Amino acid sequence: MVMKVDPSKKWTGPVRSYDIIKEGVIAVVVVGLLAAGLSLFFSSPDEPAVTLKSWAMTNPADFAQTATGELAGTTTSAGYGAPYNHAAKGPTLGPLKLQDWAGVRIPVDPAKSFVVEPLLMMNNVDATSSAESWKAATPDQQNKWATAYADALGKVDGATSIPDTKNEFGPVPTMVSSLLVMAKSGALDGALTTSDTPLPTNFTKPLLFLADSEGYFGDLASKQHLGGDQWGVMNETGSWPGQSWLWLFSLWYQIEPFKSSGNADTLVMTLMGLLTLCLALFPVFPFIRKIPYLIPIHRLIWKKWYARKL
Amino acid sequence: MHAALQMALINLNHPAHYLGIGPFQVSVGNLIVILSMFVILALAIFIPFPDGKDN
Repeated sequence: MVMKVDPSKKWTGPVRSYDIIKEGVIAVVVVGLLAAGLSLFFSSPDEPAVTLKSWAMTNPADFAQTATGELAGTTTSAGYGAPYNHAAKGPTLGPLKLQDWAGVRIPVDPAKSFVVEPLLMMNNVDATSSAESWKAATPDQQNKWATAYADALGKVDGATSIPDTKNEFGPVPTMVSSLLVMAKSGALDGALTTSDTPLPTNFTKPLLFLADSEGYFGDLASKQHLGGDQWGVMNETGSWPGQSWLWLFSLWYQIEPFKSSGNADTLVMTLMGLLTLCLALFPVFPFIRKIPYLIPIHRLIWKKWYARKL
Repeated sequence: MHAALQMALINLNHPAHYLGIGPFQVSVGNLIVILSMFVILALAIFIPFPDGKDN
């Protein structure tokens, strides 16, 4: 039976003293000692940074294919939509175009930002002249060159360049080869991280470029079980424990209809919002609010009080 | 980095072990932390409060 309590009346039942400052100090000291002690035993994750240089050195063919894809406008970032461009409407929730309405706040044109502009900064005549030729061509011509070269690269495993025997690739092979040289030297990392700020603090462009990689970046994540379909949000690199408290967010990405939905992020966040609302409204649901009476765990905690009542 | 890891008594800088059934998958590290939390919850429930403060 549910007891009705008038909240305006002062509590007249038993009380016990509780020193919250003392409890807080003990908690901070114990957790601090535990964290310091465990770090001595286990150290902490310290993976080397993934850079455009490491990508170009490890998998140059994937780098060349992705750079060509940026020029052809076929990569993920080229078709992402807001906040980078207007190429797509992005995730929606019914009639709500959430991503689109947020607007293009960080404009990124992948071909221009990741390839053309860095090449124009290179101290190399071939690189700069190829980039100038690209800029002088019509969008239709640019697309024909890049698409033809992407197709040709895709047909040869491990290729970083293809000879232009039919004169159909324009300046694209020189641009891609030059960008690969730039990336291997580490200069491309510097060029992209400082393109919008004087100090190398903005990693938006190199991260978008890396994420467009079809072979390198995804493989790295998958080997460390960090992919979305591997409960990756919960996991950490190496054998360290990760963010296990995110299990419920991760769960939805493993099951249908979320797993195969292109709109999974919006669906999962909406569902989690509804579940959180249900948790907050726990006391007003007729049956659910009686669960503590059916499973009286609180009686275990306050067993002395309930024993006295009996 | 490597020197610091070598100094740690237990080196966790190697591929993790994973346990799974169907779509469910969890790393051994996460499982240990989750089980530890259940143990702490059980202790918090069953260990009695210090006596002598009730009024």
